[in-house]
Amino acid sequence: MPSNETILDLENIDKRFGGVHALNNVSFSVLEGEVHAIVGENGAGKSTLMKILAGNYKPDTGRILLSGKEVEFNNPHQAHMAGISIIYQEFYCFPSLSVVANVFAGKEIIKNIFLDEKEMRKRVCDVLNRMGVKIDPDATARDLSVADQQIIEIAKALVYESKIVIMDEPNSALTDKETKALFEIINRMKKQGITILYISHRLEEVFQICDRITVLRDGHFMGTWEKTKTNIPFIISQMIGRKLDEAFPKRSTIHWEATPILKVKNLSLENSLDNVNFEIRAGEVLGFAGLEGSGIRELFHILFGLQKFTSGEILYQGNKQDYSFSDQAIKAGWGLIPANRRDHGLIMRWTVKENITLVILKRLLNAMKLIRRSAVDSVAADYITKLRISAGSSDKIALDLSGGNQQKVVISKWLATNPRILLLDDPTRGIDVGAKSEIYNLIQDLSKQGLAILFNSSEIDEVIGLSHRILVVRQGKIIKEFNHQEAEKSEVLRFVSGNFDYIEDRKFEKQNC
Amino acid sequence: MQNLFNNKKKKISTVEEKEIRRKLHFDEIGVLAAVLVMILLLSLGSPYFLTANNLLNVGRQVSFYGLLAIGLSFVIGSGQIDISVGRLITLITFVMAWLMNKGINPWLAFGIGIGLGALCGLLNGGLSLFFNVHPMIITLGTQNLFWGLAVGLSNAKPIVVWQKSSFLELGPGKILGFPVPFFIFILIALLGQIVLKKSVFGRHVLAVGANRHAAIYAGINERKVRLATMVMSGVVAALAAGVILSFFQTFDPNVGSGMEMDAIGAAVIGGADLNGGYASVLGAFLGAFLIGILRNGLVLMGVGAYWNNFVTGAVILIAVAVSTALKSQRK
Repeated sequence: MPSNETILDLENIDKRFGGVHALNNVSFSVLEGEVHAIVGENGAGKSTLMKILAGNYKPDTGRILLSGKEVEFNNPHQAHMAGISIIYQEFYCFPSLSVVANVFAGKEIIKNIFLDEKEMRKRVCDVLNRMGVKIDPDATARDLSVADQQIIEIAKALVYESKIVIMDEPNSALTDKETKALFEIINRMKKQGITILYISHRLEEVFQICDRITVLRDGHFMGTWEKTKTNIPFIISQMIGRKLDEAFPKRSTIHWEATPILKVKNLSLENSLDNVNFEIRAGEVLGFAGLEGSGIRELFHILFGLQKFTSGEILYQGNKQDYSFSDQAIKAGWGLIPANRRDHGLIMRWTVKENITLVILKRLLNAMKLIRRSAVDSVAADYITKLRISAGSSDKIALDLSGGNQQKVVISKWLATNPRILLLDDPTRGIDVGAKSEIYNLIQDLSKQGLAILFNSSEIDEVIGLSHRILVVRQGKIIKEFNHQEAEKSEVLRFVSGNFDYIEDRKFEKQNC
Repeated sequence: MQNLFNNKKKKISTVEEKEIRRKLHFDEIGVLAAVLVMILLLSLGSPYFLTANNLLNVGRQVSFYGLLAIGLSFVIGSGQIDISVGRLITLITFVMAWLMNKGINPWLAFGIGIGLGALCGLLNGGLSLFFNVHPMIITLGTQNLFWGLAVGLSNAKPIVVWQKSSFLELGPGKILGFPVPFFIFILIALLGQIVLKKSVFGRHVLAVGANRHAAIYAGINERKVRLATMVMSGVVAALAAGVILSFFQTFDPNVGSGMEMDAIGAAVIGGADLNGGYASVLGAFLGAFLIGILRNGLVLMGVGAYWNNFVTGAVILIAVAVSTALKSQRK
């Protein structure tokens, strides 16, 4: 339980990068043993602040007091030794090494001149027990789920007896069930007196797990509030400086009597999809709700021509569809915004304009069949304005944009192809509230323009809030269809999780500890 | 004017610099600077260096592996490598010379050689795709295959081509004052640079090299693209073989040996990223030249062959280091 002792004081922290004032005179305190959320839009300065605490950056001015004593970190190692660990959103494990080897990677315990395997294994088991998780310490990291890999990251922090653990969007890749398990771990850590700084975009979860919430906006400290004395709308208004009246925009009206643009009949794929049937009309937003691994991703890949199906039929605009590759799908009017923006959606080293025009290059050629620079520039400029991508210039490298703006670039790339039907696979993953609401509006605009949209999200609220109809997919089957009027979150969730909520069914039941 | 002066004095931020670089297409400015500095140093070292005759001579010498470097720019840009091209030259030079001495029209023999080059490239790319093995390993294998075939069939003996033909008169001649091999090198380099930087295919090659998955999601058939670059590399090697044969009129069992390494060196000095995603034909052209003038200049300065290798190696390393540093700044 949180004490009244402050463990960490930040005093007048200021940091500039060139012309950008990333942190402007930020001061606040963290109590020992509390779960303290840091929220803010992308670019608000959360990551910079965390990197300062983790020793990656040095502040230009200001002081950091750890248990009342001023500290100065020149590198991550010093921060680590002082008891501060950070778990990054994008973490890296060694896939071919065991859990134990991963936890101690780079900090192996050595006895005489050999690795002290026994001692390392013992410590890992201790920590895993303390966290209350069942993971085989001898398992190879690549065999673990993403959630378990994340747990390994947390175990790393605990093995070194860190007093403060910073978690940067720890559940962005986790399912609801895994998130729940993560929260249990966080609660256990809290009971053991560990202080947690929790960075997240998902305010509902912040309110669930955190004791106090600090808001940053444009590098400024807006305030710290106790969870019990505030609410989500207030925190959002502090984050974005305005109030969001309605989270989700109005849906378009659909002509239900119109012929469906797409009919899927008895579609099956070995081990992934089992007799899937559905239809979608032009202008309709069809939501898919399901856990990671439910088969929705495979379904999208099949429709987009990236994967073959075993049996069944796809009728698109009245014609049978059996693409051997995605270029055929694109020609026919399909677009896919993949869930993994970084590895699948974008070429991160390329500029905004190169990314936006990648799929439509053939339309931008001159008489000599060479790419017209001016055409590339004008298409890019067009979408930068339309989707309000804040990039500064279309020559900016994608890597340098915030998550929300990167996603807008991916969407631009597909809108440029003039699609008739769009597959959106978790388009709001890891992006800030403002960008999310812009994407919601965009989805409704596109559906009003007559696009058919198949929409999947790891956030059930979004699926319910945006779709006309919702299909719940579980283990490759469509087990339930909801109209948006009748879709209650708890009811949808019950079907998504298959009624037996939150029962442990971890992959590695065996525990050798 | 006042304004211009002020701008110069102001420290240009990296972002602005990046954009200026892009606007001027000056990605290769580092290599160009290295070439110019080297020309300056070498011309101080030897009075014979900076003569038109000598420079054209260097141009001819670099054109053989320079051609390979053009094909390799595409291969490396797509995230692959092809180390078989040197020995492919040996094989194709042999086949062409052998056909010519059988009385076949040299132009036809040249055409057959080009076809064989395409086929060998197809073999390299196809094997790599089919077995899903890195092209480094595949071309390490085929390199020996090609060479073994060439020396086995020729008994490792030179073949002098005795036919009289316009094909064989072309090599030693000049076009617009340039030695023919150099002229062809410049021509192909120009073509290559345009295809790599301005065509859809070139953009797709770099997309596949930069992020294969993103390319697939963008509807780019990355397997076709990778195969195509390997075929191109084979064709360009066959072209180089033709130019060599036309110039020397002789098949030498050692021809082509080690050329792939000079070619890879030239491409990498020119900025090609061995991880894929970036390459420049113009850069490779300048890279080939840098290696060439260095070797030539050192000979003119009386540096012995052994030390010549040492100095060339050191300069390649320095050039790559500088080019990498400039590239990381660009990104």
